[in-house]
Amino acid sequence: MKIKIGMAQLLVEGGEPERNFNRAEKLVVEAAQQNCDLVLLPETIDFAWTHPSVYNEAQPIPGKFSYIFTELAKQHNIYICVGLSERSNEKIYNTAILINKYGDIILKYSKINLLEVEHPFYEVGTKLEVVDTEFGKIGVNICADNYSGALSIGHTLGRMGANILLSPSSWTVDYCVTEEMDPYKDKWKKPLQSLASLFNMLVVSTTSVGYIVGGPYEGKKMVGCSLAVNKNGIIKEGHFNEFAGELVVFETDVPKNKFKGTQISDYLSSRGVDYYSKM
Amino acid sequence: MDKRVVIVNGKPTNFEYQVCSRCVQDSTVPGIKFDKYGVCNFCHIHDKLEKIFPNGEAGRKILDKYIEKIKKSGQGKKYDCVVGISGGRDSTYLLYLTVKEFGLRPLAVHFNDGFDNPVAGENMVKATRKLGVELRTISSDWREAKELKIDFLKASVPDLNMGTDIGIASSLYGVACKENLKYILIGQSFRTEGIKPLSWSFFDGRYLKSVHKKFGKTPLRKWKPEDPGFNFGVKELLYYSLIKGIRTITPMYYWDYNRSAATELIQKELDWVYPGAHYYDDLYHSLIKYVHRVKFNIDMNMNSDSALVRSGQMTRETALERAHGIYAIEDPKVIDLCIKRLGLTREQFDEYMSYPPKTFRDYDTIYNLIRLFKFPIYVFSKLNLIPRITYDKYFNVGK
Repeated sequence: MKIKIGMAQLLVEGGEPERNFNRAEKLVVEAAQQNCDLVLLPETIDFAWTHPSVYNEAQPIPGKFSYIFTELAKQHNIYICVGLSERSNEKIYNTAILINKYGDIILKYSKINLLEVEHPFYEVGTKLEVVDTEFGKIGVNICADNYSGALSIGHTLGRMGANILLSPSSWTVDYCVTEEMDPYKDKWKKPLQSLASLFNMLVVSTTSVGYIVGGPYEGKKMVGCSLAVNKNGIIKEGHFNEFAGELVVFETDVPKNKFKGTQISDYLSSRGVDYYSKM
Repeated sequence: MDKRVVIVNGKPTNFEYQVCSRCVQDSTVPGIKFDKYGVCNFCHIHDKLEKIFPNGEAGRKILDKYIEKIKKSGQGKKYDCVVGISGGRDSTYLLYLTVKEFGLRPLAVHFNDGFDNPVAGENMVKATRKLGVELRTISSDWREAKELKIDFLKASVPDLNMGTDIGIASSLYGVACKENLKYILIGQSFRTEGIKPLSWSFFDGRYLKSVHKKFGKTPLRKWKPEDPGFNFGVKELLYYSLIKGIRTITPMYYWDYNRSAATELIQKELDWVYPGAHYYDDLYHSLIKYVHRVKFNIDMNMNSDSALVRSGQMTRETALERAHGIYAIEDPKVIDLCIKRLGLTREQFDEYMSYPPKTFRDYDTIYNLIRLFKFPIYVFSKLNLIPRITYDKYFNVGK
């Protein structure tokens, strides 16, 4: 089974949902024109990550923001995974939704491994799940859920049988990082590669681009370099850029899981992964 | 005699209203003077600059000499020169010329201060990729950039983009210094942009610091040769030009630069998309235009349209129709975006708008020192150690 994915490395402007959605729509249309099966957008593309306007303007899911994407999915016959802020019971979550090509939200996940600076903005998510699709099981997590210290989240999705892990992200760097530098070094490549390798998953993480205006991360920016990895290494990488979005398309085989349940524990032990050795 | 009240820099005057008989600049332009034929002093400076900076065959010969020097200076290096780009027409065309016509290997440098127009951003990506040019983006620290923008709103002067202007210059020199490059190419042309009166765009690092000292809260980060930040005054300029030997060249001064033809070419060759207006590679110009028009009665477009009239690229009738109109980029949505992005409320912005209009003369600047050093500035301009237009700007339209 092959899948063609578009990593929509979107320019996200702080506090400007309408402008961000207009640009997102263009990339979704472009992905459909390139016959992508699925398009992955970044994290919190409505207001940008930790932008203070989320307090007053976040919408419920389903709601008017998610509706834009369910309609787009239906109209263009494409799966969409997108990160949005979510208002729910007077609380706000950093959420991602997976929409099938018929426009149904088939998975909704809220970020668990919130950075300390996110705590005033978002509540911790309370569930993890994978969903069956025509491409296999798809799991979703968000950005820092894939930090080296939080890989248990990705491991759980792997144990749930995810063949594909989608991760909308807002990877940030200091303002002074420029194109000739390696912006993240091993910060993302290593954990994503670890998950892909241990669970034979396709791991795709699309990050936004843009200059952070508003919130606790002023002085930082997002420079793209989205990543798709499988057990053999990097399949596709987005360009370094901080002011222009772009669609990065690749086609690949969907990996098949070899193990289930306790077989996974045995396999992980054979790979030297022992959860309790440091306790 | 035209009895209308002429407002100059936001203040009513007793000047008689007059429009230049050759271009369309009028009495609202500070320092404007008219000769017995009704032709303004800006037109006379334009004619003088035409002689100093010929285009056509003579211009090409001068340019070829520069190109030779630039190529020589780039031997053994990865790049020959720095080209400043914004995604607007002038700089995109210059980048095209630099690669395709001059045969140089530039490093494109862009300064991002958080108000980049996304259309211009895409233009930069397309142009650099199609031309095979490396792009280096120097971002400001938003905490500094934002505060500087608010400082200048509070200072109640027309120079609302001083931080960005200083940031652009310092980033070009900073990258040239880091990469050991001796030449910076910029896309300015007096034939298309004209010469701004001093009080409409006074460029001075000391001015920035004095305004920031008065209205800002957090200290700006210190100057480093390769990471100058918002520090760019005489001392820094002398370091870059005299010690590091970096020169700024304006190739368009010598080139037969026709905006319409250039637009057509870059649209065809580089998929360039018009950002919506001149200078609209920076969204903040939407707010600037509004403040200039409403608070200061400043029409920068009249100034640049006049340049186009002088160089035969716009009819005087068209320019007259456009003068003092509401410019297309004064989009209320984008103005709101600018205010919101600065973290201001509309009420705060309106309060700053209500402050009495001022100019750079109300702050500590280098202006008096510049007047003392008239001759060295003349020599520096001649030697291209500073932009050639600097001398005329300070001493021939000095209001």
